[in-house]
Amino acid sequence: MTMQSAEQVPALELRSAYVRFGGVSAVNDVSLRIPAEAGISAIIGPNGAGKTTIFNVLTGVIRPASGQIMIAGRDMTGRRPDEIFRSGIARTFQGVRLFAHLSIRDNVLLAARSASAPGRPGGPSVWFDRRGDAPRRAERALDDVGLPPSLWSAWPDRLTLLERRLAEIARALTIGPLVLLLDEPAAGLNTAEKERLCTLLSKLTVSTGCRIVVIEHDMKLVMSIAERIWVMNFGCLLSEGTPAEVKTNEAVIEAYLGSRSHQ
Amino acid sequence: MGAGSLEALVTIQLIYLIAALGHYLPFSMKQLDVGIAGYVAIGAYTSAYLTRDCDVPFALALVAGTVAAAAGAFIVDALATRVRLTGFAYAVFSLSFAEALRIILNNVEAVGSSGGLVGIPPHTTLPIVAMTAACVLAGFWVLDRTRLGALRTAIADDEFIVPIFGVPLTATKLVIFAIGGGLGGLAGGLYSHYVLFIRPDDFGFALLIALQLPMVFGGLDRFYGAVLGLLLLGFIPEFVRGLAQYRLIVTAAATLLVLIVRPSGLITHQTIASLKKAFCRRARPRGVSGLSSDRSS
Repeated sequence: MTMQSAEQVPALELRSAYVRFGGVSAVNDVSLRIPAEAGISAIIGPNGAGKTTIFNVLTGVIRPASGQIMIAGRDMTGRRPDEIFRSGIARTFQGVRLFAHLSIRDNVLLAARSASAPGRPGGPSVWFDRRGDAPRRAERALDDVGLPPSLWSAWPDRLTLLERRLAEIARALTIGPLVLLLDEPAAGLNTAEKERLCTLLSKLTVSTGCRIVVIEHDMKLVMSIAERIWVMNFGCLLSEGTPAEVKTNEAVIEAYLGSRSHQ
Repeated sequence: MGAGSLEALVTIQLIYLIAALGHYLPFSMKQLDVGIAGYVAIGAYTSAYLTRDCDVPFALALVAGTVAAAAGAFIVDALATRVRLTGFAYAVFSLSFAEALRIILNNVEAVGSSGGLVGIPPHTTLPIVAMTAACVLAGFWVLDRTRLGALRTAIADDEFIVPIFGVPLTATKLVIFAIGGGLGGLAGGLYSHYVLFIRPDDFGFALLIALQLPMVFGGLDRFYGAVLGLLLLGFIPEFVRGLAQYRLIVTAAATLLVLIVRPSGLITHQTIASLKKAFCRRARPRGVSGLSSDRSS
């Protein structure tokens, strides 16, 4: 390994990934670098552009036909999703996917216990809480996202959409992630809730020092919180840059934003 | 009903209880492993052969039967998981294993082939069975409070996302499958040393149905569902003994009734939730700082 300083190694890097579903090329030569500095970035693009597929590739759910995944400089290509989670990549899902018959606290604890297990793949260590601090970390994650203790023992179906989204974020936060991947966190929320979510995300990048990547369709929200934006269409990366750069990129305007009048 | 026959009934029912709980474990993860008759057969034959032909102490033979059955379940499920079987294909695969094993046993001279294994030393008594069953029930109570228990519920709820939270899914499932198979083997060992004569055909489809029905009654969400189902199915027909040959009609009618009225079984997650709510009626505090008010579906 070369003697790079820690800051120069990207937290997460995808190198020219290809994914095909049958004849459809879902991801076509996409490379992403999520730098080591804490901050919020966003992936935008029309439906079917391959955004969620990118998340699935990054979390090991889908193995790319070719391409490399580097986590903090380590090659994690072809590793199982549980190994990738334990090495610091956590995510939420498009449409909330909490375990329906575990309480909010148990949902978060399930992830917290994996995190405290020493990362030996497949070993029985994963079934026991060796460090014993999982409950404390689960509660801290729930506190960090602002879920009050009165909700912790409830099943997910008793919660509002925002509360469930927050619980999902708390579940991902338990490992103290390098990178937090949020798949449409603001979908279905009202304006006040969206504001609350944005404030939380900005706060989290500071308090936990993690890097957040959101997939989002709400352009106003993306432009206001993201420092860096990747634009995808038909499985290809169209453009990459700051909100200002992306806004003025002709290809992006044509493919996604539709017309200038939206700005 | 004489004291002797009551003792026999309780002993056999408790042995069935252990096997039913073993059968329940894969189902509690919504995995259709129906090879339980095969696992019981492995345990019954292994332990019976060891005590009868090798003079192995009963306890050791029981353990050997349990381990052999657990290994059997592990191998069957590892193969099924390896080729990514799901749903009915999984059921057919595991059932084929049990049936193949039965046919093989029918042709192995060393264990009496189709004539059965006779002269098994009598070791199983009601206290032994009762104590074992109590330990198994206690084990389930503990399991529900461990990480493995929570993982079982999580796998049943949404198998796909379990590995995304750091859990090695296949290994976790295989451990639970193996525990289930092991319990089947334990029940088999107790059974063979109680009835003293076993034939391969004792471990056929009828046994599977006998272990499956309690779950139809009790539901998959809680282990005591299977226990309740077994109690209802095992003891009620005995108490309507006066109906003689019509007793089975009562069982069939009760099964149909449960399937129509409560298709998910008598005890479900919802049942437990509403019971808890009834016992501790507290107003739910409002959501996150009052901002979130709209509920999605």
